[in-house]
Amino acid sequence: MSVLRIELRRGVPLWSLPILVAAMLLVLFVDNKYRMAEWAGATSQLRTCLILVGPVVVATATWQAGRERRRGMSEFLASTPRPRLQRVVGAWAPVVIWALLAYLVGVLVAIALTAPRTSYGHLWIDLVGAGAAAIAALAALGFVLGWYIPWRGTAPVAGLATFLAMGVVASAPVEIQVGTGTAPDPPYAAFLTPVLSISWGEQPAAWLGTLSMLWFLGLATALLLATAARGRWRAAIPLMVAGLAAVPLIAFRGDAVVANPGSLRLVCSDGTPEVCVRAVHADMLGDATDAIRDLTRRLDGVPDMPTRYVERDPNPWSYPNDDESSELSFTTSGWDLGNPQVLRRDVADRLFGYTCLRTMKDDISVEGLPLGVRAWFLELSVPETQSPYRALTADLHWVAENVRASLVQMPPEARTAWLGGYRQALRTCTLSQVTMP
Amino acid sequence: MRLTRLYLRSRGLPQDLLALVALTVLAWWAATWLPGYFPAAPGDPRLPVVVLIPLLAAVVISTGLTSPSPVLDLTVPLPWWRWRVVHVLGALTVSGGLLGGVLTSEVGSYVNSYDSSVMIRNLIGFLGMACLAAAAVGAHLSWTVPMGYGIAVYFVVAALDVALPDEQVPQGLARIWYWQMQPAGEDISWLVALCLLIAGVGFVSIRASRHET
Repeated sequence: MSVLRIELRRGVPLWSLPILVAAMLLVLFVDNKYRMAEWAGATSQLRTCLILVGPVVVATATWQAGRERRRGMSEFLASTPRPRLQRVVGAWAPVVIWALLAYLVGVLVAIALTAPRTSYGHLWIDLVGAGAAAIAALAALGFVLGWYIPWRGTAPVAGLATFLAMGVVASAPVEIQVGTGTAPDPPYAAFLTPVLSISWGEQPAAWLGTLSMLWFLGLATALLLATAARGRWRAAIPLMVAGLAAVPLIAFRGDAVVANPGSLRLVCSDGTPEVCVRAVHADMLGDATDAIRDLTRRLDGVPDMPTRYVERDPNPWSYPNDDESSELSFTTSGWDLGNPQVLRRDVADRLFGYTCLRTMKDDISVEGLPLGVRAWFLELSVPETQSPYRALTADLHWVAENVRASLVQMPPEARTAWLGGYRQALRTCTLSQVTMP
Repeated sequence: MRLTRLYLRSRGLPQDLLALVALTVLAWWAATWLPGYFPAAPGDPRLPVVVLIPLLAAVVISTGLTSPSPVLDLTVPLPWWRWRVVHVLGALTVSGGLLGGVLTSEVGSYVNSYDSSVMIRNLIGFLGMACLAAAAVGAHLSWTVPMGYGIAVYFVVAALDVALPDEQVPQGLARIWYWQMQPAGEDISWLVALCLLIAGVGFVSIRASRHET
């Protein structure tokens, strides 16, 4: 125990703690903070944190494993009467313990952010626990790499490779058939990697957390035993456990996450337009109703405006048919349901936005129309950049800005009539026939 | 000549050269494979190649500044700062020559596609950052700063790409912190990369790499 205490207080792993805490908070606050409005989102986000935490853990463990070799102590330590496994576990444990502490900080922050925003469901502790087991496995993997590969570049290369591998699996393209009602099969390795994503319209199967934990813990134990145990064959037992857990995680990956009808039940407000949110966000119905009614007042008189605004099912394969003019589904996250600015942007996208992408593709004036109308509705100028690393072409920006300026200058009656025609053309994908305002 | 050969061997430069060649092959393969793997990507799908491969190359070069016998080096009457400058700039030239030829073709019809100049710019910037780290914490740990910065910024910008509405996307100078992800032709990103290189080479030549303890 005293050895572990010394290991914890000295060495590289302690220095990794602030980096790991920063990585956890960075993911929780910068990437999809809005997912913290439901327990499913909070659980997913904690597992998503591992995309940054994982590479740091792997690199730290790799570096830690090479310390005896770097200091020329390997032979000396090998001559001491202590089992090699004890030395290896003693060096691996601080990496895991500090990383778990950072993970725990993230869990507490996630709970503090989510609890005030939802009264539906709970944090899936078993999936969060599987994330902790994944940290142990990543540390073991890094340790083994550092132990066997005596190269000064092993730690950074292992860290970057981990980041890339998790990123590629997490963003593996899945062919989603919008509106078919059938969920696509996830990629083969979807539940074998530390990163996990579950939307708030879904719930995990009862076995997912337990099997994930067995997979990661089995892997961690097998790697450590294979590296340092006196009888390396003992590694076969945990490896077998990991393998047995992996088989259903691959074979039944399509059933690992299923729809959660309870969370998707609609809760609606009285009055016009009618506003409905999902049961998981029922606490925010009042705020959402006020915000939507406030922003649609600007469109009074425009023909065929929706009379019902429904929070969209988050699963694209079960999207409703939006051609019904009486209903508009919005996708604003639960976090922002009460935020008029965000709702406004979202409803603007749905009312005037990109529903006819195929028609727009090669016609710059058609492509510029929705951008200009959206900017007018939001009372903003057309942005020059659409994403951090993609800009609008100068021609497209010019067209969109002209549309916006014309709408601002139009008399209100003429604008109302033009918007009605524009909405009609948008629904029938005949934007090319719309006269410029 | 013998001294040069000994220097090259002591810094592991032959192994570094092999690693750089391997990275070039990996970059070429990934740049060919990614557009097919992400056919519906909204931007240039070769972004990981453009950012992470130069980062790895910079790490390989900067960790090569580690001396196996730092105390012995101090006893030799040689202007070591010149050796370090030639080491870094020579490795930059070789790796730039290798990586510069990877992105030869355009992918799709993206407004802001990446090209070879972006690979060079990122190599220059990350190498400067790694040299600064080498002067501060030692060449053996010089990978920590560019790797931490590179991964964190990559993740944050990719997340903001999804989460930020158009009108909140950073404009102008506010984009300076993710210089390595900007497309070709962005002058400000080149300025950042060159400043990092000048500062990094300057510091590491004057201050040397901190000794490994």
